[in-house]
Amino acid sequence: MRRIIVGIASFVLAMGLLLSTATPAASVELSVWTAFPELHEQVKSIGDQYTKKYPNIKIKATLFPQRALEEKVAVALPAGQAADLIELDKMGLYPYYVAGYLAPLPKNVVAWVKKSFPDYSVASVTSDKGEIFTFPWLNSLKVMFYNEDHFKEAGITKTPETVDEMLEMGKKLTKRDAKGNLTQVGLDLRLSGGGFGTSQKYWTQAMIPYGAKVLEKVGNKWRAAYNNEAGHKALQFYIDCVHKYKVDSLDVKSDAEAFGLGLTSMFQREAWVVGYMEKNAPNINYGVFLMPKGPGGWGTVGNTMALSVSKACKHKKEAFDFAMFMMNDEMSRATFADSGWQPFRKGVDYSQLYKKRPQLKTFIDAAETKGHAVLDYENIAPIFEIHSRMADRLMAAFKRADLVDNQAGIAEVIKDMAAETNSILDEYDLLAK
Amino acid sequence: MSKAATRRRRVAVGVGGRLTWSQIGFLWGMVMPVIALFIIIRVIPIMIVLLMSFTNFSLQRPLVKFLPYQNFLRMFGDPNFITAFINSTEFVLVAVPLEIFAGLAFAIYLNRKVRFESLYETLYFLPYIVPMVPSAIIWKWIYAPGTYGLANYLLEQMGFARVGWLSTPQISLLAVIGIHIWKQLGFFVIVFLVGLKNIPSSFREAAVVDGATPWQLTRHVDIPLLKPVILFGLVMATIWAWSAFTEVYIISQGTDISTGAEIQVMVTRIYAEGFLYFKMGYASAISFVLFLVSLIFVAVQFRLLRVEPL
Repeated sequence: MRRIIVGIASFVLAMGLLLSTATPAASVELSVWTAFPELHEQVKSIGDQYTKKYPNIKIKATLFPQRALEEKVAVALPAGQAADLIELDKMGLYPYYVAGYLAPLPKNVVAWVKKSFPDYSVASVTSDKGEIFTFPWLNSLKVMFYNEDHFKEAGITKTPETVDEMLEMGKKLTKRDAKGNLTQVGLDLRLSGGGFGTSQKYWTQAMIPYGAKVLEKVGNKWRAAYNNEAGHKALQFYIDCVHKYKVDSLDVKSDAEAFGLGLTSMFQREAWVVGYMEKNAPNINYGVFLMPKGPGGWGTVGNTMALSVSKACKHKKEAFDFAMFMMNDEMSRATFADSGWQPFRKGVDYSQLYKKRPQLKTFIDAAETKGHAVLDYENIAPIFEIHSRMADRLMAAFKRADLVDNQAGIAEVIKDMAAETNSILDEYDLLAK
Repeated sequence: MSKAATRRRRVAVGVGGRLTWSQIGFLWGMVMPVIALFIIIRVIPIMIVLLMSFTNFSLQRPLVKFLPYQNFLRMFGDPNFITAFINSTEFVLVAVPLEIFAGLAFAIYLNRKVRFESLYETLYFLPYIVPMVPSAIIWKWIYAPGTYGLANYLLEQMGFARVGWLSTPQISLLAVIGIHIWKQLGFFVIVFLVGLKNIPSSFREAAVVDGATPWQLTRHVDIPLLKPVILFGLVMATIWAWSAFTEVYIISQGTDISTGAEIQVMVTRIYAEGFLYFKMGYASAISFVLFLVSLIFVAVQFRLLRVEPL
């Protein structure tokens, strides 16, 4: 009898051990917060594919409007309640890294990032301590879009290479009704909208070609670098376009919607517009060209849409692995094709995609074109505030017709703006005296 | 026995219609949860905001420094705050009188047994029940630039010049105030109408017998008897105007609006400082100033429209 009992107990124990080893590992759920609907869909799709590969890991993607996401991150991240992975502009994430709320990339991931991403994108997410604090997932690189039919109609056979040429073409392309209202905007400068988007477009469109910088580093501190002739010329360019040559106006529709409606001949935007046009304005014939050169430089802004792992994430190894999966060759191709957002990855073959959307090639080539600089925001905590407050002042200045041929007025606007930039830097103890 | 002791004894035994201790205990038991909730939800947050306004607290910086006066001093040199304060003041000075006068006028008119009274009441009240976000989005479309906006399209059809609804700061602010009034007016019409219906008809009948004209009826009977309701309306309109946010926020978002910074009001400034730049200390200081200013306005209104007990 005793033998039977011992035998049964041994059998039950053996079966228990067998079953426990056969049970899949405990399920892991990784949460991802994103700010754009098309990226949200992309994360969901990539997440499904990742779960197929690793059935014990579930991906839960949540979409928030951008401002709401910034607010949510501000409240939840310090409390350790944020998602495991967070997508935001790099400049929005950097202050959290400094405050210790984000997990820097581990060594093996750093090695992969350094190998798989362009040097300038790696540099833009590397902190002063030498840590890579986030994945440089997507490149929000700006180029010019132009309406081919408007160009043909105006007898323009090539795209502009310099800002002066662009302005001349803008004049030819602009149309007005009998009352003088603009019916076709030759050059949409993004005079409105507010927030750092407005100052970002101004930086790209006017400051870079005239050689003005928003900030310059002096030692380990910073100061405003546009209170100079280059900075004055940049603002003068905008004022002339709006009030002297009237190739743009504050009282017309603007941005991608206006371009899709055929109201705008040229405007500056990112790769997502290609997808937008395909969906909303398939009949508009358009092309893209690199930002034109100016007397002070040639280049564009390619700010980083980053992906960070929260310090409070309980499954960091899995989170970093999923992030790398999101950015592998296949997923990068899918992201570019399906969401329209341009991955930062290098060495990915997009040839099939170019056949369908030839405009996208310009975005990828932009980073590798010799002499064409791609700039990103500096890694300092108040960078968002600096650019947003600049935008407020710029928008007010763009309305001022009295600034036409008024060097003193322009100098005063720039001086006040630079003083504000410096006072923000000072508040964060970052101002170079 | 001392007077106090006698009073305590009366209270305890319920002599002379006073409450017994058990009744007092019961009442406290009923009232305490409400008072506790009020303290937790209202009083404590106000105290925390007051405390935070004396710090440099930022959601992005773990270190907090005590600033005895700097946040308040900073407002005087901050052009964004000054613009927001002026705009909020304009908001209150334009919106409150218009809401009260228009609300009162419509209520008095509807109280005179007009046909389809219920239909008018519904029409006036409809904007009030529509949430502000969709309302503001619809208005944004109405104000859109060029002839893509309904307002400019209609103006152009009538032979008038287009208006820069979203590009001229003075017009943009008035356009937003217009949305606020459109939204709140129905509330005041209904409140005043209910107040008018509660005035006993004998007062009006007596005045009519004495030969009062409709205007005299309104001026000497309706309005004096409606004074407590008008005070309530005035206080609510003032608080809502000072705390306007959604309409300004929605209208100032998007690439077709070029007056974002110029039409900011106090609450959008608080939002920007607190949730865009994460300067909770400074945002709290602005909040506290807003609280004080609203309080002063309301206190003056109470003083001016105080109703003496009969």
